[in-house]
Amino acid sequence: MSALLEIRNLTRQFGGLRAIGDLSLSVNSGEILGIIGPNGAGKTTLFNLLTGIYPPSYGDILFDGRSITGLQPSRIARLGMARTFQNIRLFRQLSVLENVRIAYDSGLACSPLDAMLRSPRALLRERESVEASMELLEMFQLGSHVEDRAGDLSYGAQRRLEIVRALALKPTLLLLDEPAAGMNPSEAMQLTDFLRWVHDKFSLTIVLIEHHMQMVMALCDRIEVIEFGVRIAGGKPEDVKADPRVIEAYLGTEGELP
Amino acid sequence: MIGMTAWTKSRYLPPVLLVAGLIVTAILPDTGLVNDYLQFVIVSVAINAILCVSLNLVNGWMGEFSVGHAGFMALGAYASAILTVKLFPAAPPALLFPVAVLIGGCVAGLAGIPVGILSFKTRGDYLAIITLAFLMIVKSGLENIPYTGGPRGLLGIPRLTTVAWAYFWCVFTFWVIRNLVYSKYGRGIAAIREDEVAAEAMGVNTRTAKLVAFVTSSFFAGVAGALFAHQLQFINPSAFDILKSTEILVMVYLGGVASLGGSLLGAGGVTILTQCLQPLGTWRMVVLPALLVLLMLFRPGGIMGYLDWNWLKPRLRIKPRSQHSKLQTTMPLSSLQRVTPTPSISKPINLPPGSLIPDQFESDQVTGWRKYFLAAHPQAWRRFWARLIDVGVARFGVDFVAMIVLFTTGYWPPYETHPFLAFTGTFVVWVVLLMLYEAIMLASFGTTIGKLIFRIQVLHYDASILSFGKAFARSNQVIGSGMFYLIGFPILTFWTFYRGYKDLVTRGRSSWDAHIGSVVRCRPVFVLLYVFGVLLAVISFASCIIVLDNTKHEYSRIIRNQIIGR
Repeated sequence: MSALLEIRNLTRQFGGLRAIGDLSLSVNSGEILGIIGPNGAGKTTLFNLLTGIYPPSYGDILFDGRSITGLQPSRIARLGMARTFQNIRLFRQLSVLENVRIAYDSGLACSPLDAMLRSPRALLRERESVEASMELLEMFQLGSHVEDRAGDLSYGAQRRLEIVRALALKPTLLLLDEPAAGMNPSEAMQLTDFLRWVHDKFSLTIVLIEHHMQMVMALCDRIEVIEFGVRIAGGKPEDVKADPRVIEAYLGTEGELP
Repeated sequence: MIGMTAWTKSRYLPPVLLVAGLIVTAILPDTGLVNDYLQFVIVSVAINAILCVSLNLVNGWMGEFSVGHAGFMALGAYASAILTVKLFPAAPPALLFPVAVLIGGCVAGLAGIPVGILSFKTRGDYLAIITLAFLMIVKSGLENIPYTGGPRGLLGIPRLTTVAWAYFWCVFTFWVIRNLVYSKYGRGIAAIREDEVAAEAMGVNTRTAKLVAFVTSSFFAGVAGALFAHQLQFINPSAFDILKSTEILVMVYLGGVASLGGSLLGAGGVTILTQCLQPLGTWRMVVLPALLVLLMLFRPGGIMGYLDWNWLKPRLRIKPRSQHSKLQTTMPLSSLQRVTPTPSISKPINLPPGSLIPDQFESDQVTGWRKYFLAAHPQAWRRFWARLIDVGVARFGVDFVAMIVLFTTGYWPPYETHPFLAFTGTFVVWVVLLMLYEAIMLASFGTTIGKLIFRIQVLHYDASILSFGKAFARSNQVIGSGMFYLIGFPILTFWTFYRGYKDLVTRGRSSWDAHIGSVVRCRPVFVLLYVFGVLLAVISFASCIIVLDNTKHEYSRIIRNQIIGR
């Protein structure tokens, strides 16, 4: 297995705070990697660095063998790295179909002049984007909601739509930021089935931030544990579960307990 | 109106209408039907519509706040005026004018580039300040250039903006901006408004999108400026100050942000209103801002905020997929149960008598206008009486409005014209009021007064209240069916019951029993019945109104005599 994503000595400072400190990771292509850690460990910051929303203070990110450090976020997204957000960030005023089309369109070549004059090429692209987006939405049982405003969907459907929107980028790597947030245990286990199906169907590599341990253990091939921006453990789910450093990070040492 | 589906769906209809409009506007000044003043108003509406829709691109669709639109307009006005006055005063105007307008637009568009670049990193209030600074730079720059007359301005510009040219540029602007808005870039621009970070993460190049928005917006501001200069025949820098920007902003926020139809409404409404309010003198300055305050309180997006008429949207011809060919790969069933709420449409609803019943349902069996009046409702008589009460309410509203207008001005426009116009005028007011009343009530409360009495609630098919746009579209179509109900109702009821009976006999169950609000298939005979019903309804309404209006005409005459006598 080759590494799809390689993070080398990644560091990010916010003023005096070191959110990510000298972090090195690699994600093999085709695997599901879970990233866990206590609140404020820097997991979401890591995603923001990977997708280019923050530039790293130091270090390098290699995606598919090329350095993506310092590229515009949209460029990175078009290279095949899609993500979802911890707090759902759909385009709420826009329709479900438009949400998906925005992501799909970014891969289509069409100049502004084409768009303004509605040239045959622009029409061709429009058709392609509607058809592909509809197909994707129907596949995820959102076909009956295409005209609805994204903000009007139910919470579960919004989560699902965010994943569909990310998939419309035709990504090779999917970053999921707490997809099970706000779900009860049985819903989270159903989400596990769903994510595995997505993973197989679209032959994706998935990196997943999640607090829901049961789900992470069931879903992930490998787990990395981060605390204060530093990797403290990693490996197979069973090993990580038993690792004393992980238990300490989550529960504290015995001495601290009253 | 409604039976013209095939016609309105024709792809040739819009270009035919637009060309017809161009011919009409070209001939209009020569016919002597419209005087110079009216022509001036029409051209002003067109210019303001161009300004309004181009500013809407930045302020509405992109969600920024630009106050520098008058600056771009000034650049276009001056660039084109220099061409026609200073450089080529002898050139044939038919050739020179389009070139001058285009160059005016290009100069303004070029000026839009730096502002666009500055918007990469700045947002909101800060960008508004930048555009304000741009406006001040342009204005004081123009004041200090002796070549264009300094603060005195440019005089002696030929009057080249005809109604036809204004119409052409207005249509062209709307066409281009419509294409842009319903394209990859337009959706990207809307995504920036919704969530810039998410837009970037979804691959939208926000820099390109912002640049496209600013350059397009300023280009058309320049075009409008050029038309403006050649309409007034005189420009000076103080015509393009912050007040001009404010005027355009008022149109945008009154008509509706992120809406083509709203831009048209805003520009037309404000321009015509300011002309109509001339007799009020200085007090007219109070009306518009007061209107704006009311609008911001009750409808912050403007009249048509984020909505548009369907005929303004481009149609994309896509082969319909077969509805029921389920894709072979769908989600695993467990996740299906988790996230898909059972749609209310597939579940028969048992209604206890007297409960609130859903009014209309979406159905894929019948589409378009048919579904609105061919729906076989279980308690159709209740709906009929409810409708009758609502029609009465709207009629009362017209009388009320007429009384107020009559008492305050001594003048109710529909009565002051030809008798034929008198009743059609009142009829139109009535229908419009009925539609507005229905739409507003349905969007706000899900019911109208008549429906409340008969305990009917109108729900959207996913059991939520209709949006204003949907409610308006619905009432628009229901008015037609309402007329039909008056005449064709007994026949329709008989027919649907017959259909249900036949279903029951042949298939063992009634198709309109299985799903509440399910739809009887449309038959040609229904279309004929419909046309017949509409005709009869119009005749009966008209006869009522003639009687009513004759008395009211008399009444208005008496009141006017009293006022004059005083």
